[in-house]
Order: sequence, then structure tokens, then C-alpha cells
Amino acid sequence: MENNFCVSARGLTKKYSKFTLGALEFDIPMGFSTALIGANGAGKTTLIDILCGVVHRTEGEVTYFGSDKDIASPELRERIGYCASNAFFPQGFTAKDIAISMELAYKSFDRKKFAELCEKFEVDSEFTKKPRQMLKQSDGNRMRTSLAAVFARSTELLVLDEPGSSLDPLMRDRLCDRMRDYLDEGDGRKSIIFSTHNIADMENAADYAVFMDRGKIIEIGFIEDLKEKYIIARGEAKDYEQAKPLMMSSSANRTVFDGLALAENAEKLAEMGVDSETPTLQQLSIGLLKYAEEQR
Amino acid sequence: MKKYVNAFRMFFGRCNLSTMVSFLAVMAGMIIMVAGLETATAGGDFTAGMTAGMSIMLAGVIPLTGLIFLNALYAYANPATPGHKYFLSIPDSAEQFRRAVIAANVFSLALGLVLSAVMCVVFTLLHIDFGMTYFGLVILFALLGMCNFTGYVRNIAVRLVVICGLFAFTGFAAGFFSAGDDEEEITLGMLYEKAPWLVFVLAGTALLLFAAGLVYSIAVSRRKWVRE
Repeated sequence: MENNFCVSARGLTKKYSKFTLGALEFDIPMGFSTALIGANGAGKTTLIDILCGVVHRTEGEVTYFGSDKDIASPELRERIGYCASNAFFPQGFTAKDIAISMELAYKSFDRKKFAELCEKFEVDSEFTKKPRQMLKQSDGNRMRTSLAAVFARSTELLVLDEPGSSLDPLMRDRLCDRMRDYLDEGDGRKSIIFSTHNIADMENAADYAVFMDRGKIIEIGFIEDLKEKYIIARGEAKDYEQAKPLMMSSSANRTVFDGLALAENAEKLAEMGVDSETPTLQQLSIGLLKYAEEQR
Repeated sequence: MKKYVNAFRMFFGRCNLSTMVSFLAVMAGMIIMVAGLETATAGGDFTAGMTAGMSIMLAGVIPLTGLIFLNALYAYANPATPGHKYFLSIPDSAEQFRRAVIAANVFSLALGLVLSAVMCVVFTLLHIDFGMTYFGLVILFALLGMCNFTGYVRNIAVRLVVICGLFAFTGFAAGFFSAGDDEEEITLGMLYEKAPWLVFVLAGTALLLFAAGLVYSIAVSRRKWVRE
């Protein structure tokens, strides 16, 4: 039977002295873009580092593409493209050094494509006269160069840690387009996992979402399904106390209130005169993270 | 052989070549300048004193060459160093790192040896004492060894203390055993005249330290490279 998950985890745990990730159980669907969403310290980067073999898990199993290959396998690493949130490449490296290093490290690295992508992302390429070292570039340009390098490889899974955090809104939009193109090129065989705080800007790039809080997954699913599962309830302040028990998280001022609620409560809320609407990913994220915070 | 050079280039890009070439060019420039001055002034006292000082200074550069690549390479084993995650994520990263360690040792040694050879030839032709060059070489081996031993220590201050300690100890030992005339600088030749056994002990210890350090580093590289 064909496995339709690019990554599956069972009992995945990472223990640090002051933080524990997991135990996580999840299946990330193949052919889609998955957003890891959570507050700072939720464990997104730790999870990404484990998935890419940068950090070792303490317990549990991770399966990639339904095969039994471990992330230590060079063959598997060739299929996975990884980009860390900042200072991914050495500070002394120029685009030329990156090209030399990546060409030696990865069989599928396309040096010409890397130069083209660098030009498309408006950063120094290896053919730029006197390309600048990473140290002398802004965070945004460093991220653009790192993204150009990872997109210049032939991979089946991209794992990007905060790819949009240091990019300007226009570049974030271009990145979303590039991510969409990547998925389209794969025809259902290529997947992306990325973490983000810029939920509104990256919403176009995400199909599936994993919400994390303090090392645990609090919600997971296709964004379209989650938008049907939850609603944003909005009403007048006088109805707040009555509606509050039906909402997961909410906030109110003197005149109005709004909050996240389960769609199954929409009818009851409507009877109270409370309107409901489909949440955006941003509203969903804030509502779920607030709920998790209140439940601690 | 190619695998090792490639692993080295993977960690240094083309920086290694440009650094090596510029470093050798600066050194060659200084040696030629010394040689030119010595020839032009036909061995005057002032120039003789200056060239002797230069030869001592250049000899001190030899061991430092050993630190250029090794220090930079071991820094990548530290999670705080930019590039750490990139190198950890490449296929077969631990094996690539192991190969790069071997290559970096060889390159560092080769750089030191080439520099020493150039100095010996030029200074011999100009009749300038180059006893300190040998001293530099002994320290180069010892430093490479210490760098290999302390490479995985995440606190850089510890490595620096060990390296400074090594310099201080060597200088102290040399000064202690060749003491007698305070106004003369200490050369390995002088030390050999006064305490030949110490020269052999120093050279032997340096070689042993280098070999042991390299063996240790290679043996533990895979385990130390991968973050737990």
C-alpha cells in the first residue's frame, strides 16, 4: 500500500534540561505545504532540527516517505532540503563558496540554477563581481541566499525554519509563489514543512497546519478542515458572559467581544444573538494558542 | 586523497586557497624585504639586528599558521558558530568532518613546513641565524596536537588558555635551561648546546602530542560532531 505521508512520527521525544518536546505523534501529508505554528519556545525549531538530522531525538521513531531509512542515511538527506532560520551558512562564505560547498555536498545541487535564483532573489550570485561575504549582508539577504541554495537542489521535501521572518512583505510574497511552484513541479510528490510567525503573510503558502505549544501538538489538520471545525464568534458585550462558556478563547471590550469557538456551538451562539464567521489562519492560530495558554 | 581535499573545500569553500595564497604572499614579501635590506646594507649592525629580530618574529608566525584552519574547522562543531547547522545537515556530515580534520592538519602542517623551508633557505643564503625557525616548527607540532585535543571543547577560552600555556611553558623551559647570558636571545641551537636532551624531549613531545592529538580527534570526531 502506498504511503501518502512525507513524514510520520511516533512517540517522538527530545529532552533538554529545561524543555521537553513530545511525545509527538503526527503524519504530514505528502504533496502539501505544512506550516508549524506556535509561540516562541513551542518547539518548532527543535522539531525541524530533529527532522533534518541536526539534532538527535531522545526517543521515538520518525519515518520519511514511508521508508525505513533513518535521517543519518546520505540517500535520504539528498531528498530533503533544509534551511535554518538565521546564519545558516558560515559568515565568511560568499555565494561562490556556497556553490563550491553545496556542489561537493549534494549530488543534485544545480550551480547554474543557484546563480539564477540568486539573481531572481536579488542577492549576490557567484558571478557577481566581488560577491560579499554572508557577514557583510543583511539578515534578509542571507535568508534569500540560503533559500536560493536550497531551491537549487532537486529535493522531495523542503524543511524551512522561519523562511519569511527576515524577508520584506514583497519577498515573502515571492517566496510563497516559489513554494507553490515547487509543489506544482512535484505533482503531488514534493512537500514543504515550514515554521512561521508571519501567519497572515504565509497563509497562501500553507495547506496543512500543526499548532504547537510548549513542546506538544495542540491541533493538527488541513487548514480548510480546521476552518470548518472552528468559528470566530462575535457579539455585543452584554452577551459576553452568556457566550463565554461556549468559546475556547475570547477577548472583550466595553462594546463588543470576539473569540474562537467550535463550529458545533455555532447554533447555540446564534440563539444568543452572537454572529459567527469563518476564521482566517491568523485568527485560528491566535485563538488556539490563547486557549492552550489558558489551559496550562 | 581527492575525498579529503573535497571535504576540506566543503568546509572552507574557496576561502582556504585565497587565505593560504595571501598569507604566503605576505610572508614571502617580508622575507624578501629582510633579504633586500641585508643585501643593500651589506650586513650593517642596524640591519643585522633588525633582520635577526625579523627572523625571530617570522619563526613565531610558523606555529600560528597551524591554528588558522584547525581553529576555524573545530569552531563548526560549536552550535553557536554560524554554519554549524548547514554542515550538520549535509549527507554523511560526520565522515566529511573527519576527513576535513585530517586534511586541515595536513594543510596546516604543510603551510608551516613550506614557510620554514623558505625561511631556512633565504636566511642560510644571507647568513642570518634561523635557529628560532626550528623552535617555531617544534611549537607548530605541539600546537596542532593541542588544537586537536581541545577542538571539541565548546568554551573557546579553555582552548586559548591551553595554547597560551603551551607557549609560556616552552618559553619558560627554554629560558630556564639556556639561562646564563641574559642579553642573548634563546635559540634552539643554544638550547641544544646547553641541554641537548631537552631539545630531544621537546621535539619528541611535540611530535607525540601532534600524533596523539590527531589520533584522538579522528577517533572521537563522529561522536563529538553529532549533537546529542
